[in-house]
Amino acid sequence: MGKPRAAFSLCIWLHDFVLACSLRRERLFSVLPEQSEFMPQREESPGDRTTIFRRDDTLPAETQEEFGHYLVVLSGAGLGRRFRLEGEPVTIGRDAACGFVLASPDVSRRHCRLQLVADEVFATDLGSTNGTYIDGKRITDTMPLPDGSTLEIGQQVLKHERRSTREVQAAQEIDRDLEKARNYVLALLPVPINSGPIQAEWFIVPSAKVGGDAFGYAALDSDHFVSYLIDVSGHGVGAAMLSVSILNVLRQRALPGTDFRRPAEVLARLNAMFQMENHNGMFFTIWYGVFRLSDRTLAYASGGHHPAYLVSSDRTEVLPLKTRGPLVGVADDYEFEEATMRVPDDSALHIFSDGVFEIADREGRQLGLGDFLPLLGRPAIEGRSEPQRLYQTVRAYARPGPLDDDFSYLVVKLS
Amino acid sequence: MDIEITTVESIARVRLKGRLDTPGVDQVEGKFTSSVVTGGKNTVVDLSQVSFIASMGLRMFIGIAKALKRQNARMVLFAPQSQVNEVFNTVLLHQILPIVADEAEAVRFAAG
Repeated sequence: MGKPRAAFSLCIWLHDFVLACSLRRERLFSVLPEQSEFMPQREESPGDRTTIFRRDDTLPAETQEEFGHYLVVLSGAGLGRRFRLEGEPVTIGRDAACGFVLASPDVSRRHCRLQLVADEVFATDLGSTNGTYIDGKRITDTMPLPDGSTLEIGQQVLKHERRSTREVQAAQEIDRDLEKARNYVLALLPVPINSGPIQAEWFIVPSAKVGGDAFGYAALDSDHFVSYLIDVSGHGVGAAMLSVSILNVLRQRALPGTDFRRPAEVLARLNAMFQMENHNGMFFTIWYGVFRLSDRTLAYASGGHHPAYLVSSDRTEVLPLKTRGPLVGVADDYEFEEATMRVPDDSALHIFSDGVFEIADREGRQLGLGDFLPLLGRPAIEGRSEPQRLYQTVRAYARPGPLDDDFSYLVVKLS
Repeated sequence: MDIEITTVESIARVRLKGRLDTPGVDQVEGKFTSSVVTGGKNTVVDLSQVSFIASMGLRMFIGIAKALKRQNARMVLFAPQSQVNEVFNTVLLHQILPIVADEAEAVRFAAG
């Protein structure tokens, strides 16, 4: 399939996907008036304008709503997973014998127990190592878990929802579609490179089911290796559609007459192609770098993106790689700066989205880039990739629940 | 997120308070847009009580500034906190709309 045809097919697929989600949402909310047990009927006589509400016994049986209590995984292993609580107590832990298994090292074998009593849910910590928290407060005894509250177990965050079964079924249908979209976006991301002079590893956690971040890396030819990260304004399906479009342009090198080894030229062409007036008011930031193996030089340019960082092999030096460049897609007459530097041996290039450091901590304080950078100098953890180590560290600082923005982290080791 | 809009001498004065993240923008964007864009008013925006801005906040400001520009009106931001100003510097927002230190300067800019 040719590039234009592939791009067209992608657009059609995304359009159908968003339309399907919209229709399902409409269907979900359109049932609400029918759920009313009482239907207004107006009886009028001269001088009498009283409205009488009568019980309508002819309503179909399906309007008798059934409600259930559900646990939804908001972050950590099994994101989006939904579990219904029934009459029997449910033990949560990493042991396979538990009723709700969370296979994570920070979860105890038998971590806590939930029980439904008279339409209320209660949580009991079972002497776990890392504790059980309800809305950020550690529990030491049996405590109620109100509707809408969060249950934090290690780094896993779950939410208690009391919802009608029909709502849940409709939500699950939407979730399945979003999962397909998420898998599609993930399928476009490159596979990690574990051997050779250039190695790459990454970690991405969208704040919604799908996010507005994307990244890539590839050999442009035998001497040039490109790495980039895109962050579209907002998150969710709309942002994901634009990030997928940009990602496909970069993956397919579908910018006619553009030398992809020249970062500023690439950004200028993307800026011309993706003007926000033509893309539902969305713009994006990008960091784009090209490493030349023969002389170990790195050419790079930024479009409204914070710096990438070059970290020395002993982690004592963290060098920002920043050029002045505006947001991409905001105005068509912008110019982008490009810089070049020689890369010391065994350096690692860290490229990440602002969702990595723009987080609120457990006390509600807003953290920024300056709070995050010291983490780059900390030692590696065996068995975890560098992006995973940084995610888990950030996650430990952040308040419970999903991060506010997409977490996307790419490390390219330039040995 | 709170928004307060007054009009003094044909200049709309907008005071924002809180976090301009996605939920914050959802709370104020409708009122902000309908109040200043519809009338095509020159607008100054007090950011002294805005503690955080995400991309959706930038998108709101850029969208409104562009809509006003089409009507030959302008929007000026003033008194951003340091963390918010750092974001503006990263994305070079001043290339799109003026950002000044205080209200008096903002009013002078807006009046042209």
